[in-house]
Amino acid sequence: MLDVVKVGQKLKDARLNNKLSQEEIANKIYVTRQAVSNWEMGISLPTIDSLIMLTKIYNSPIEELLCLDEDIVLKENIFEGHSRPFIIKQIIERKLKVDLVEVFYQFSKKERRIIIKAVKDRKIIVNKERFSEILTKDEKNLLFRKRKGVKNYEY
Amino acid sequence: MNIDLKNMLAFLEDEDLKELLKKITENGGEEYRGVTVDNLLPFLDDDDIDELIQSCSDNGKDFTRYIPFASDEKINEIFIQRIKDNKSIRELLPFVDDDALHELVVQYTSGKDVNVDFDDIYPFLDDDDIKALLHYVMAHDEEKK
Repeated sequence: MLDVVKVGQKLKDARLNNKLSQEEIANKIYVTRQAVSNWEMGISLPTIDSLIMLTKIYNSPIEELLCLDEDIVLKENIFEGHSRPFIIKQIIERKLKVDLVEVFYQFSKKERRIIIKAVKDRKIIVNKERFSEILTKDEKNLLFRKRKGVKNYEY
Repeated sequence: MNIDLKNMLAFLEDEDLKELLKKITENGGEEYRGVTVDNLLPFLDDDDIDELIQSCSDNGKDFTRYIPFASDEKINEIFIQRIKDNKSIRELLPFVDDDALHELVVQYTSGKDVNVDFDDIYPFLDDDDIKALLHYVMAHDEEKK
């Protein structure tokens, strides 16, 4: 999964290094200036055709423009400079190690539920006792809700 | 005396919760006696959520907010079904298994006709699949020239 925010920053850096304006890029690849702006702000990503044209204009390989195989550096706010879904997916896929209990307050209500489900499905391994201490009543229900035919949910 | 059903949810049996879910869906999917599907989600069994999402998908109702609660198997199943039916898969993409997406890339890069828009899909692929897809498209473009 791509880190849309980081890719946006990379596209902006590449454009500035080539001393081009958003308007000039837009004209070269037949899109609107707003589209270029949205890419650079991490709101959306170019189409594959636009991306290929950008690699030629910026003389930069596709892997570099899309920040593939790059290390993820986290700040105190784990989402700063990154796309939120990207960080969440990295945590769930165990590609990114964070102390969930320490950073859990940074997740939105919906994101917390996604993480709890991943814990429940054992995709993320945490200390259940320590983790449950920071959960709301509803979140604890989500984590511990029984499954059909199973009396207690064992970890 | 009016009983606030919302406060009772944690004490209801599976069958009662299922009945309540049925009442909400019969009531247009909004709420029943002040209880919404969102209120019920933390208490529902995984199978019930899978059933709910399948029913929404079949009936053209918005199921986006239930996707994070569905099982991986159900998400993949609906994903494949929606591709076959030529329906939108955008809302499912962040939750679809990497393997299911990988299979689409393998089919496409081996020259098979795949009925999906890869502009929507590529941001959700893993790094190796993105490389395989984009290098395939670039090589194809060069061949055309």
